[in-house]
Amino acid sequence: MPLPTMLIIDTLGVEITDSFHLADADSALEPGAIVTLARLTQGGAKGGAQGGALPRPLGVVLEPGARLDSLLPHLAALDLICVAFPKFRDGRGFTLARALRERHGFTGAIRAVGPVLPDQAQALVACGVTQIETSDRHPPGQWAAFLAQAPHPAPAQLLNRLLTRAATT
Amino acid sequence: MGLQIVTGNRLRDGQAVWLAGDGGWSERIGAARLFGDAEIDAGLALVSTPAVALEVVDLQAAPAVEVAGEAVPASHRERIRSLGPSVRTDLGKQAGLDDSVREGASEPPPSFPQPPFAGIYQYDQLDRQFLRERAEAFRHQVARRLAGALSEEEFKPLRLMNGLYLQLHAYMLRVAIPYGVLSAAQLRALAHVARVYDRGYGHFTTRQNIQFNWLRLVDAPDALAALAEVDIHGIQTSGNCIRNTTTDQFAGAAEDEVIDPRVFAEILRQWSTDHPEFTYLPRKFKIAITGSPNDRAAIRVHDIGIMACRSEAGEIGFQIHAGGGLGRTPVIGTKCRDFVPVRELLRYVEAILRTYNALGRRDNIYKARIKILVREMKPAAFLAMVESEYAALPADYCVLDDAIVDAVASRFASAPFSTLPAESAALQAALGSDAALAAYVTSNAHPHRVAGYISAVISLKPPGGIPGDASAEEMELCADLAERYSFGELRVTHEQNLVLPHVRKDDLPALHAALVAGGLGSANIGQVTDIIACPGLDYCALANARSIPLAQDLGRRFADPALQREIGPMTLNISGCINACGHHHVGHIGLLGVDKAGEEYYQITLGGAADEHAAIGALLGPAVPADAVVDTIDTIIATYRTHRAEGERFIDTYRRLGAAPFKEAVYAAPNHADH
Ligand code: HEM
Ligand code: SF4
Repeated sequence: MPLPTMLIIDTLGVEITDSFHLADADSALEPGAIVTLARLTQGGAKGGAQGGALPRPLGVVLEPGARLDSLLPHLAALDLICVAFPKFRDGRGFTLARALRERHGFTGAIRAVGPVLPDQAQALVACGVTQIETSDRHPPGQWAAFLAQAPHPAPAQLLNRLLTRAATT
Repeated sequence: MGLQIVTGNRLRDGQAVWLAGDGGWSERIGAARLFGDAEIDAGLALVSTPAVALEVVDLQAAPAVEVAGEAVPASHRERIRSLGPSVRTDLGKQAGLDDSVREGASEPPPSFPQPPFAGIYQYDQLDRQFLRERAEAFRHQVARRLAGALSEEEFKPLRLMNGLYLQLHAYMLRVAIPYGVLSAAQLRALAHVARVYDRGYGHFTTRQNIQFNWLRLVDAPDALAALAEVDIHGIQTSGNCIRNTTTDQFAGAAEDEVIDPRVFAEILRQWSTDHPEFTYLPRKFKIAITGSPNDRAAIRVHDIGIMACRSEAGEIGFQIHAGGGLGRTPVIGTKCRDFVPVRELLRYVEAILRTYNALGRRDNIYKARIKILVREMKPAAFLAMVESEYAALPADYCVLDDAIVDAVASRFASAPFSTLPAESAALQAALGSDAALAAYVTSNAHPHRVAGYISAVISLKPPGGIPGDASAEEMELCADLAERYSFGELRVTHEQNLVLPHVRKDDLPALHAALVAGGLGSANIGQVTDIIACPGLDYCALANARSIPLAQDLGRRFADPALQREIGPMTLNISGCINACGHHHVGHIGLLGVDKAGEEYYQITLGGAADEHAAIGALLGPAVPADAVVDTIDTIIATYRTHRAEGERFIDTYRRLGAAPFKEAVYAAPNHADH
C-alpha cells in the first residue's frame, strides 16, 4: 500500500524537496537515510556507499522519550533530526528541539514529524524546528497562513521586547 | 433490564441534547430514544459519524427509566443536565429560557475607560494588540471547527487555551484576573459579558479567575474581544500550560511584604503566555508567589511556589518550592532553593519546567503532575536535574536585569495616597455607636502599609448565598464603590471574595453602609461561613456531589453573626470531587463529595491549612450522607467549643488534641456514620 505523501515545508510554509528517506532496517544505508536512534548508536548506521563510513546526509528519528545522552556523541554526523510528536498535545518535542539547539549546539535541520497542528507553527519555529512534515489533514496551504506571521514583527508583550534573549526569539 | 439513552452537548452552544426516536437531537430528555443495555453500543455507533461530529460533541450513554412512554433520567448528573442547576431554578431547561438569542450580543461593546490610578498592569498598544490578535485567532479556530477543518480532538485544547470548557449545561468561559488585581473598568466589562453573553452573573474561583457558566461557542470570540479592550483574557486559565500566576490579594497594600509580588507575577505572566516550549505540558502547571513571609497565596500547594525574601546581605530574591499540589494526591511542595536572585528568577523557573516537560508522565493523567514526578524521581534526583538544566542555560537567556524589572514595575500606577493620621476620628466615633460596622471592621478589614488606609474585604458569602457568585448588578456596585473609595481598584481573593485594597479609614462607615444596602455587607471573613466551595454537580461535568447547596445550608446554620464570632477564625472548604478545586485538603474543616451507589456523601477532613503552616487535613472517618453533614459539622464545632483553651482557634485545639475527641463525638452517634 503506498504511504500517504508527506509534504515537507520550511519555516515560511514553503514546500521543499525532501532529500531524505526512511532507511530500510535490513539494507545498507544510502545518502539521505533517516535511521532510528538505536541503529545510530549501535553502530548499525555504518554501511553506506563508501563501505563503512556513515553516509551523508544522514538523519535520525528521535522519539519523545529518548534520552539525549546517547545521541550526543553522534550529533556531528547528523544533518537532520526528526523530532517525533506522537500526539500534537505531547509537548516533549518542543523541549527536545530547544535542548538540541541551545544546550547542544546542533546546527543541522530539525524536522517536526507527527500530527502537529498549523496552530503550533510559531511555537515549533521558536524552539528551533526548521522543517515540518505536513499531513493530508493539514496540508501546506493551511500552514502558510500561520508561518507567514512568524517571526512576529515585534514581540508583542513588553517583557519579550526587553529581554536580551527571550523564549520566543 | 436497564435502559439507557444517548446524549451529548450541541457544538455551537453547548446545550445538552439527547438522541430522539426520529434520529434527530432533542433538547428535552423526555423525547430521548430508550435503548436496552444490549443495544446501547449499537446506539452509540449510530451517532459516531462525521456528520454528527459537526453537530454534537461529548457523546455518551446515560442510564434512564421509562415513565409514561418518556425517558426519565436515572442519575443525579443526568437529572441536573436535563433541568439546570438545582441551586438556580430560574436558569437552564427547567426555566424554559430561549437560547437562540442573546440580547445585545450583536451590538458593539461599550467602552469602559480605565481609572488612572488602579494598580493593574497598564497595557500599551502592542500589549493590547496581542490580546486582540488572540481573540481573532480564536474566532478563526472556532470557524475552522464549525466548518470541520479542525476535529473536536484538535479543537478542544485550542479552546481550553482560551479558557473555554464544556460543562453540564453549556460552555463555561474562565477569565483570568491576573494575580487578582482588577480595575473598576475591567469589572464593568465582566458585568457586561455576564449580562450579554451569559445569564447575568459570574463565579469567582479559588484561583483568581471568574467563570461564566452559560456561554455559547459562537459567542465566545465576541466575549473575548470585548474583554481584550480592557486588557483581560481567558489565556492560561485552562489546558496543560502554565496557568495564571496567583498571589496575595493584599499585594502592594499589605504592611508585611518584602516586595510587591504583582510586578513579578506580571513578569511571570508575560514570560509564560504562549511560551513556545511549555504550552503542551504533561498536565496543567500552577505557580503562586507571595511577597510576604505570611503566605496568603498557598504557595506550598502549587506546582511552583515562590516566596520573596532577603539574603543575609540584604539582597532581594526568592525562595523556590516545587511539586506541591492538591487534587487526588495532595502534597506539600519540596523546597528547591533558599535563595534565587531576582535576575535568575525566570531562568530557574524555566529549568524546573524543562525538567518537568521532558520527564513528567504522559501515560496516566492522574500521575502527570509535577508532584508525582518529584515523588517518583525522589526530590534529590529531581533537584539535581533542575540544577543541571539551569547550569546549561545560555548566559544571556531570560536574564531579568534591574532595568527590565523597573520597566514592568513602572507600568503599575501608584495611587496618590493622602497623608493621613494613623487613626481616623470619624471611624472611631462611628464604631462606638454602630455594632455592625465594628463587627465588619474586626473581621473584614486588613492593615494597610499607608497610615490612615485599610484594605476592606467584600464578602461574596452572604448567609445562604452561593459562595463566590456575583450578579452583574453586584459587580457594577463594587465597581462604583471601587471608584469612589479605592482609586478604582479591586482585588479577587483565593477565598472567592473581593477586596477594595486602598480605603481611607475615614470612608469606612460610608462604604459599609453602601455594602449593606447592596446586600454585600456580610462581616464573616475568616469565619465559619466564609466557605470556599467549588461549583460541584450543579455545573461541573466531573462532580460527584453538589457542593453549593451544602455550602448554602452550612451558611444558614451558622448565619448568626454572634455565633460565628464566638466560634472564631475557621476555614471550611468544600470540593464536589477528588479534584479538590474547593481546597478541601487545606481547610481547617474539609468536605469532599463522594458518590456511594448514586447517593451524595461527604468525607470530612480536619486540620488542613494553606498558610505558612501548610498542612493536609486528615480524614476523620467514614463518609457522611449529604443530609447529615450540617449536623455533623455542628457536632465538630461544639466539640471544639467544649475543649478549647483560652484564646485557641479551632485549628489550635485540633493540633493540641488530635482527631480523637472529634471522632468520638461524630461517630458515637451511630446514625451519622455509614460504612
Ligand atoms: C467547573 C469546571 C472545573 C473543572 C472541569 C475543573 C477541573 C479540575 C481538575 C481535573 C483538577 C485536578 C487536577 C489534578 O489534580 O491534576 C482541578 C484542580 C483544581 N482546580 Fe479545578 N476545575 C473546575 C473548576 C474550578 C473552580 C471553580 C475552581 C475554584 C473554585 C478551581 C480551582 C482548582 C484548584 C485550586 C485545583 C487544585 C490545585 C491543583 O491543581 O492541584 N477549579 N480542577
Ligand atoms: S472539585 Fe470536582 S466537582 Fe468541584 S469544580 Fe473541581 S472538578 Fe468540579
